[in-house]
Amino acid sequence: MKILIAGSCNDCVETYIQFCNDIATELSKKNEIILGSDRKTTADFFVFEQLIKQKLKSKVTIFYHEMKDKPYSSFNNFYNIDVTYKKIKGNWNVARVPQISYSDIIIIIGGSSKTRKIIQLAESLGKKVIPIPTSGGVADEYWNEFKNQNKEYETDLENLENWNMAKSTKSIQNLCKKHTNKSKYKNINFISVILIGLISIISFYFWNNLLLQGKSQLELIIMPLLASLIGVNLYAIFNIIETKSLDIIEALLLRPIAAFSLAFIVVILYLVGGLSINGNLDIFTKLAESGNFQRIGLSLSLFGVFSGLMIEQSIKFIKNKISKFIDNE
Amino acid sequence: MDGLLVDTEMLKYEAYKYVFAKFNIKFSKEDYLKYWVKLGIGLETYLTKKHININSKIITSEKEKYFIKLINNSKLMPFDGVIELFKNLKKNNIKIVLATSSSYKETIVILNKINLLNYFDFIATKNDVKNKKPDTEIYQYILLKMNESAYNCISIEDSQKGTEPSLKLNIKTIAIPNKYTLNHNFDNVDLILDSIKKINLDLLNTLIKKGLK
Repeated sequence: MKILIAGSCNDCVETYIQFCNDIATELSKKNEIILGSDRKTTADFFVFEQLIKQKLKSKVTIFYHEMKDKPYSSFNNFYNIDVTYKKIKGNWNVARVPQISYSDIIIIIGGSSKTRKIIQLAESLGKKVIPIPTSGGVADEYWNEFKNQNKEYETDLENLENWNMAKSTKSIQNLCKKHTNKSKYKNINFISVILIGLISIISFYFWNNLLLQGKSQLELIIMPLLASLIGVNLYAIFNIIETKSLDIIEALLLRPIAAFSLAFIVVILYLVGGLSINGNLDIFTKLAESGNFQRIGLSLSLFGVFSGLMIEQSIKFIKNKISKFIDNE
Repeated sequence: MDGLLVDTEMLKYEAYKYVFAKFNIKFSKEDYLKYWVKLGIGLETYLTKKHININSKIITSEKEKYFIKLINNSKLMPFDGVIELFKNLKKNNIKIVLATSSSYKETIVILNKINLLNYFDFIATKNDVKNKKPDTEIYQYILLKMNESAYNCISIEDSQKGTEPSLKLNIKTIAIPNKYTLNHNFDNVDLILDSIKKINLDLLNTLIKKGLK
C-alpha cells in the first residue's frame, strides 16, 4: 500500500514528533511511504528522519517541485531507504495531483490551510484520509467528521484517540486496509466464492489424474498450468480471509491469465534448459517411466503454485522497476 | 470549464434545485441560467434578491456534496475537439491554464472524471480569489503567478461573465458560446467560434501576432 504522510506543526512539540516517529516506524514495514517537503516543521521531515534512524529497510517515494531543490539531499547516508524521486510541476492546485493520485491512503498529522487543501484534493480523487487526533491543526478539525464517517470501526477510533504506539499504529493499518478494500474491492459475491472453490477442485482433480496417469510432454506442461490456477485460488482465499473482500475480475480473470503465462514461461525455460544440458530430447523420452514423470511433474507444479501465489508481487516488482527506470531517465 | 470543456451546467442546476427543495424553495432553470451562467452573481446575491434567509455556506456545502455525487454517477465526456486541442497544445509546449469560478474540489472531480486533469499547468479556482468572474481578479492572479504578460495569453470563454474580465485586461479573447449562452453579448471579443474544434495553432498564432501590432 502507498501511504502519503502529510501535515505540519507550528511549534513542533514532542508528542507531534512522537506521532510521526511511531507512524514512520510501523507503517514503513510493509508499505511504501510517500513524502514531499523537507521543511523542518512538516510531518514529512520527522518521518524521513525516523526512517533514516531505524535499521529496517524502507521504501520511500518523494515528490518535489521542478523549481525547487531535491529535498533531503543534505542527508548523506540513507542507505537503508530505497528512495525514488518524482518531479512535479505547476501551481499547488496542479502539482499536488500526481502525489495524491499515486497514493492509496493519506495520513494527516497536524497541518495548516495547505493540509486542508490536501484533504479536499484527496476526497476529490476518491482517496481516503486518516487524520491523527490530538496531533493538532487540521487533523484535529477533521477528526470529528472522520469519526462520524467511520462509526463502525469503534475500537480502531478509540485506539487512535488514546495513542499507544503498538495499538494505534495497528489501528491505522486496519483502517488503511479497510479503506482501500472498500474502494478497490467489491463486496464478496457468494457466486464468485463458489466459482473459486469449484475451479480449485476441478483443477486439483485433473492435476491429480495427470500425476497418476500422465506420460506425454503435453501433460507435463498442463500440470504446472493447473497448479498455477490452484495457486491463484489459494491467494484469493487468503485474501478473503484476511480482508473479507475480493476483486472478482482480478481473481477470476487477470491473475489466472498472469499466473498461467508465468507458469508457462517457467515450464518452457525448464524444458529448454533440459534440452540444452542434455543436447537432445532425452529428458522427454525418460517420461515414459512413470516415476520420472511424477518427479518432474511435481517439481514443475510447485513452480506453478508459486507462480499463482506470487503473481501479484511479481507484477508489482516489475511495475516498480519500470517506473524507477522511467523516472531516472 | 463548465460549458466550455464539458457540459455540467444542468448537473449544477440539479444540485442547487435539490438543496433548495430541502428548504421547500422552488428553484427554476431560468433563474439558474440568468443569475449563475449569464451574470455570474452567484448564490449570495441571489438569496438577497429573492429575500431568502438561509446561510449561503450551508447551501454551498450541501450543493457541492450532491453535485460531486451527480458528477461521479454521470457519464460526463469532454466536448468534441477538447482532447485533440489539449494534446496539440502540449505537443507544442503551450501552457494550459484553467480559470474557473467553480470550487477547487468540484474542479478536480470534473477534470478527473473527464481525464483532463493532467493537461493543466496551472489551475485557479474560486478558492484562490476573493471575487469571482466577471471580476478580473482571477485573471490577474494567474498573470501574476505565471509571470506572464496579457499580450502572450489567449483566453477562451463560453459566457459573457468570462469574456468581460479577460477583455478588460487586454487578453486576446475567443468566445465559444454554448446552448445556454448563445444570447450573451460577445460584441468586443476577438473571435467567436461555434466549436472548440475550430481552434488550431495557426489561429492562436495569428491572434497573438494581432495583439503585438
